[in-house]
Amino acid sequence: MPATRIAVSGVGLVTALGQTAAETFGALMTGERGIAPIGLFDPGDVRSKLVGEVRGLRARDVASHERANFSRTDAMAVTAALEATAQARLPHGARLGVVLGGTTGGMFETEDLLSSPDQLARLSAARAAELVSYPLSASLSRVAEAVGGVVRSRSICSACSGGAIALVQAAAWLARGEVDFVLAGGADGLCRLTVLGFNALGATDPALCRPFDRARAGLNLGEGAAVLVLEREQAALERGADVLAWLDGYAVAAEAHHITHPEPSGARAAQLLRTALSRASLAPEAVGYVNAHGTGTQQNDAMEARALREVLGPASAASVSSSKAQIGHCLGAAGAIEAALTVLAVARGEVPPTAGLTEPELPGLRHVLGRGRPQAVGAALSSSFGFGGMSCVLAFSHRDRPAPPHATRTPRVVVLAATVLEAGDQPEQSLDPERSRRFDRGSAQAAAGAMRTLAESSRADTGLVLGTAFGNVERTMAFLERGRERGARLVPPAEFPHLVPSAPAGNASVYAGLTGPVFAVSDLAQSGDAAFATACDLLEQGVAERVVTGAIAPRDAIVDRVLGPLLNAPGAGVERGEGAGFTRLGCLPAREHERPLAEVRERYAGKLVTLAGLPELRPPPRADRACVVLGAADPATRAELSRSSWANVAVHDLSLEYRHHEALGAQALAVAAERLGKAELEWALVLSGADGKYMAVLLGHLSDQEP
Amino acid sequence: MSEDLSALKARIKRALLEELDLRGKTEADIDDAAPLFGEGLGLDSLDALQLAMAIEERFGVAVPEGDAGREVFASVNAIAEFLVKVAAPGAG
Repeated sequence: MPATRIAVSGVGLVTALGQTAAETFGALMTGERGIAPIGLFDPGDVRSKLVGEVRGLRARDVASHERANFSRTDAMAVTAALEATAQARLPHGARLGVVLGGTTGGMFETEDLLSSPDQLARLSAARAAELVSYPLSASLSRVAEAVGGVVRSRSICSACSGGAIALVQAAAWLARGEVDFVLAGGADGLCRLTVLGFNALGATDPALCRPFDRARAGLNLGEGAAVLVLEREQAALERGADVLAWLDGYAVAAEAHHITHPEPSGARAAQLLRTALSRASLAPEAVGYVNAHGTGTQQNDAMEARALREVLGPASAASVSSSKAQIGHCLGAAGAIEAALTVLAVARGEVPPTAGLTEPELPGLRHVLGRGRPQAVGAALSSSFGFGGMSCVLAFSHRDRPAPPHATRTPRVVVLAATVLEAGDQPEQSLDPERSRRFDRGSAQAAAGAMRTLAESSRADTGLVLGTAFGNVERTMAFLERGRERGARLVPPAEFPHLVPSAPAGNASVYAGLTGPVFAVSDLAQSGDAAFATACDLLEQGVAERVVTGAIAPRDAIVDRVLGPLLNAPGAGVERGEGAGFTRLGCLPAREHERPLAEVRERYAGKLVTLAGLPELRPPPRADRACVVLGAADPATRAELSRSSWANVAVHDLSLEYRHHEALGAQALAVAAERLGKAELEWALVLSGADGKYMAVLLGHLSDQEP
Repeated sequence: MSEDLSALKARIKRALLEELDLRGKTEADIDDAAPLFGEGLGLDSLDALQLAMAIEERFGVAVPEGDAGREVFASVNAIAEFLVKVAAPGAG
């Protein structure tokens, strides 16, 4: 595979400071603060009502048609996407990818619909169906409708770093040539859940927040969206695009330390910063600007300042600032918003300030105080550290920087272990009761599944990419009800970290000690297939060496009742089941004690194409040694299959074996790998289809002869 | 506070067990004098927040934040002492 340099050629931004990139960046430079008492809803008796709210944004104005239930998050995502694509001047007919980080999706609107758990029974059918509009992945289809030409989409949740990890996924798609352009970013709207939750954690500053200041007392929440247009260098140069900056490096890892607290020494964060620099072939002295995570909390800022000082060195001329004092902490969108601001700093030669910072706690960093200032920036970093220690650092460089040397290896990806958790399994029973004491079923599935695939193998460099469609809706509604009934002071703080959709991934990584890239992927019925594809991308791009991937589908009264039948059932009356499936993936060569079960030969994904037309899907060399393993499959998928070159191959339909749920695709991958490992098969086409969108993986027996 | 000290401590232990999801543990497993955080029960600062909320809900008493709060949560004995002291003037 040729080396692929990634260009940023468009930026769109919606924040409390403005609804375009120019407005936001201009206001940011003056030191203006978009933080004010919340107007969106009454937050009750909370210690701080100050937030970075996007005002004057009406979801209805952005919605494509009147009946489309746009959440505020959707509206911000679409607004940012339209700005970014306009700036990049995307050519007609281009194949686009969309990848967005987020945590809350349509939570604000869901809170209105389900203001108590028993209200579900009282909702009209139409209102209940409206709930389907609000899962985390909803913004993807809104953006796809608005821009057109989208052939890949993915939703990423890793608490507060998802918007940054989205850019890593984008780079992988571009390197593989799956798409011509990617709209990568994040969107997250304010809601009662996050306001109550961060209040309960005591994490909010009653005053305007003061990142890195000796007197800092917490964060201010914010909301917003950012979308960046990424493309391959060659395409950008050929079409004469204005390159704003290059995305030359990135690193994704987890701390496996604690579900809310960062590892205090900053050693893990420092390692991540170094990995991103090394991938970009940048020396620490080359860094001119760092847009820090800088939340304003005691723990994050102390840890981060130490890590930056250590990595940049005492003689560093790098300016450092956090934008959160002006726009708030935008959670799942923060990583994308701050990446966009970093790109603008590099492109314009201007570095924004840390508002509210007057007395830095740690000496040795060049904080930008008061107002922004002009400064040529050759290279810049943007760092994001999420709950559960899920972190990402991005390295951008100036358009004039010559291309750094790039590794061009394309490793062979193999399945090293596989396991299926069936409906009757009690994953909790295999876990240490003390270390898993706050786990819900989803977290227990994730931890038990990861542990089963790990066995004796090393965990230090292993990541976890977990498919999860909904998060724990039942637990979330119970938490909100407590807030309504007992007031903000009496919501249970320890519950809150478990309500973000990435909590099972974070919990499992802490439990199993996984310090590779850890995050959740959300794509409704195809969540497991999507997670598998992303895990393969991380391995091929050298972002990880070993990755556990899979999907969880825990029972959830609200999901079962409302969303399950609508999303999973081909006909009425099919109940949603539960289960999970996991594989552990790695690159060849296999390590000692590793016995690969199968090799990932091809990956396909497509929308509105017949299987017969999937690129390069040739019939298996020996039909009698091959099998199609169906994960999520509707009648249309089976009809497509019967018209494809695999029509005469035996079908193993998991939906007949297990009840319908969002982890079927992950289970199908695990079952296929297990059967290949037992030499029952030589080839397996693992296929999931939903709404005319197909994902397929061709697994083959391991052969040393073939390339 | 009219209830005697051992009944109060039992209520505190029940709060600990229920609020902190201490699966498989019973009141007998919690030593009145043993430290609750770090060593001992192995609780962390997220548990401390949860415990502060639970004490406010169950005993109607707000636990101070910061160092003073940490002293209150040193052990079951310390929590009991704090509740007795705060509740002394007429509260019940």
